[in-house]
Amino acid sequence: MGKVIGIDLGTTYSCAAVVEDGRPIVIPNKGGYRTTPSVFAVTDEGRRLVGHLAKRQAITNPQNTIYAIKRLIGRRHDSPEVKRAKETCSYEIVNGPHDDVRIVCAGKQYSPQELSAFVLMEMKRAAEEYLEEKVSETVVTVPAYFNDNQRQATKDAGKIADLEVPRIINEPTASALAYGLNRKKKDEKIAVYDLGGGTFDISILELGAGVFEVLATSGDTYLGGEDFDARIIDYLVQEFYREHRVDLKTDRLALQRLKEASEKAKCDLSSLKETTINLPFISSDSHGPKHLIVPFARKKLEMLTSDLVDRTIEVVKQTLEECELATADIDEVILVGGQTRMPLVAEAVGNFFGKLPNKGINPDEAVAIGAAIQAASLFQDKAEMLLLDVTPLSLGIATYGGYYTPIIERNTTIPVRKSHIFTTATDNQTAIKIRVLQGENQKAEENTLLGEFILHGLRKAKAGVPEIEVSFDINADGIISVSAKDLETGKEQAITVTASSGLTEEEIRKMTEEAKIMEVVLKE
Amino acid sequence: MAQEDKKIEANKFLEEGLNLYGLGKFSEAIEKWKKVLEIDPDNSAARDYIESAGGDVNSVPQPAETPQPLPFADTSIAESFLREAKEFAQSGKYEAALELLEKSLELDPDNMETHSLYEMVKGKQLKNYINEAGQPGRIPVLLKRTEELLKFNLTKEAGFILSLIDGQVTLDDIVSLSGMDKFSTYRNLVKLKRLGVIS
Repeated sequence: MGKVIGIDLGTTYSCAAVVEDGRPIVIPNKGGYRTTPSVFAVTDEGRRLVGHLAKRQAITNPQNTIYAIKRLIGRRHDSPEVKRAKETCSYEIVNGPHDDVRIVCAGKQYSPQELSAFVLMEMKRAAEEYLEEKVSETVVTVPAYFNDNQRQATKDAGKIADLEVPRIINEPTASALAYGLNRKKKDEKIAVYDLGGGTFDISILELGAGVFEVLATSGDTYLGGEDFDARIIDYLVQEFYREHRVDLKTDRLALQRLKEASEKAKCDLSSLKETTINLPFISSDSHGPKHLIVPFARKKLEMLTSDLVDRTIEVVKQTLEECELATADIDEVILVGGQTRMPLVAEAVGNFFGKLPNKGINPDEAVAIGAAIQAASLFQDKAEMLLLDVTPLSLGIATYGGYYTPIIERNTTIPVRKSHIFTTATDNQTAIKIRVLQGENQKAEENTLLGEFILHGLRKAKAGVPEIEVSFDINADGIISVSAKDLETGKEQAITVTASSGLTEEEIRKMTEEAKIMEVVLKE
Repeated sequence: MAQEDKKIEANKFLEEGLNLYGLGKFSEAIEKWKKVLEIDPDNSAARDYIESAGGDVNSVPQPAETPQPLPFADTSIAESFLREAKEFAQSGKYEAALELLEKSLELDPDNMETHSLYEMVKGKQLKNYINEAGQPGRIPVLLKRTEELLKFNLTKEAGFILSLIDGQVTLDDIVSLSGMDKFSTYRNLVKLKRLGVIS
């Protein structure tokens, strides 16, 4: 059997890792980069690009360059997240056949699962070249707040990419694994501050008996390193206009160069105090070429972006308050995501928690390393296996008055079976409707409906007399079975709930075939 | 058919021929241009194109023998550029022809004949540029340091292409990344190569 790799399928960048001889190793891609942009594009000439090349033409080919697809995967078309993406994305988002999402690229419609699969295929290819063997399984990470549909959609993306996904794990959990925090002897509370390219997540984990429980998770899906880059771009545009009276914002060739230069300058300033942004021939007119040469200091960068850092700290503060924890309750702080390389970010987080954050693992590789460790543990002895499969969100049923009663709390390790006794709400009620929900909100309508069924044939009785046992059973594969049993008559009704990514099996099969054809194109 | 309609019809066939020529369908292109000459036997552009594509102009209707006003008797500057460009194009000096055609189009942007010839010459010169640049899979390398580069009088398009050269991207990649059409990309690449900026 081949090796199982770990993949951090990120909003802006993805990273793959594998454990070899007991050590986790990040797998470089063909260009030698350790992370790959999660970007797919089709050029005017019909050439398909994935990764760095796709990113490098994003501004000059905006309609046919697809990025940040993670914000859309497993979402319904009418969700607020999709509405927001429609307002901000340069590509076209349309309604899919199952009220899900489709993205139009070069005249063809793609599901988010397919587009994620294209990125996964790149990671798989890099891994196969590196390991010199076929890779057919991967552990993939997802944000802690992903619901079952989003997780299932991520698994389906794997299937389309010809990769089985035996396990999905939460990104903060993976980061904690990368730092070996699961080996701690005592129970601890861990804050994972993840500021990536496009999103910010803060998660508070509690480690107990080898299991990481997510106490709270929050963030901003529209705040990340790219916002820092945008501030630098604005500054450079202003400087150039001041000197030459030319507006570079209207020139897409110039903007593409500014974007790359800003990102590079920002990275340089993580280790240097000052750099120079040098873009010769950024503009030209009848008088000849014009060059952009701007000295850029770390202090200037901090001045331009400190409010973005403050925004993240505000979210951290609120998250701690929500789970009624003080900074002193946090034993470990982990920094994840490339943007945390910025000294100002590390300093702000350290100051807030009053302790130095964990360092030592590249922040943009920690999640993939954790995924690889989890992947390797799948083949270890049971005793050593990491107990990581937990329900990401609570499961329960809708009850009288529009309320929601959880039966299995979130972060419960699976497999699990739990029951609860319910009764009728009105006199002589002969049937009850069981609506199976997933979520954390007290109001039933605010949670996700997974399925529903009716239990008929109850004996007529006063309200509150019949006893109906509702049981939830989740097996090791995450399949949920819900049953309702009238304890007096023995009548029983049940359903099996499987998470849906929005795609049918037939659609996934077709997409898998198409993706294989595309692979041939990519290898040209 | 009214004179104006004839002109429109002829231009339509002229364009269709150019499109087919661009796709490498030379015999089909020649047929289209022959149709132009059936409508307008004096159409010199169609005649030139047929010749360029290896067709036989003698097999198509010849221009009327009645004396016609000299085409350039009352020429504008744009027309004189066009006429010179035709001569260059016929003698295979496509770069010189292109420069003149671009000047002509600046002065007379709606001239269909200039546009048609421009597209055709571009097609021919692109092949030359591709030959000069090398195989699409080759990786161009920067030969000058930034401070040396500043001495050159380059356009922002050439500057953009320079910024793409990182020792990893191929010529084919640059075409995909440039945001320009294939002709403009290769034109800039060859210009940079001739200047000794890249190899």
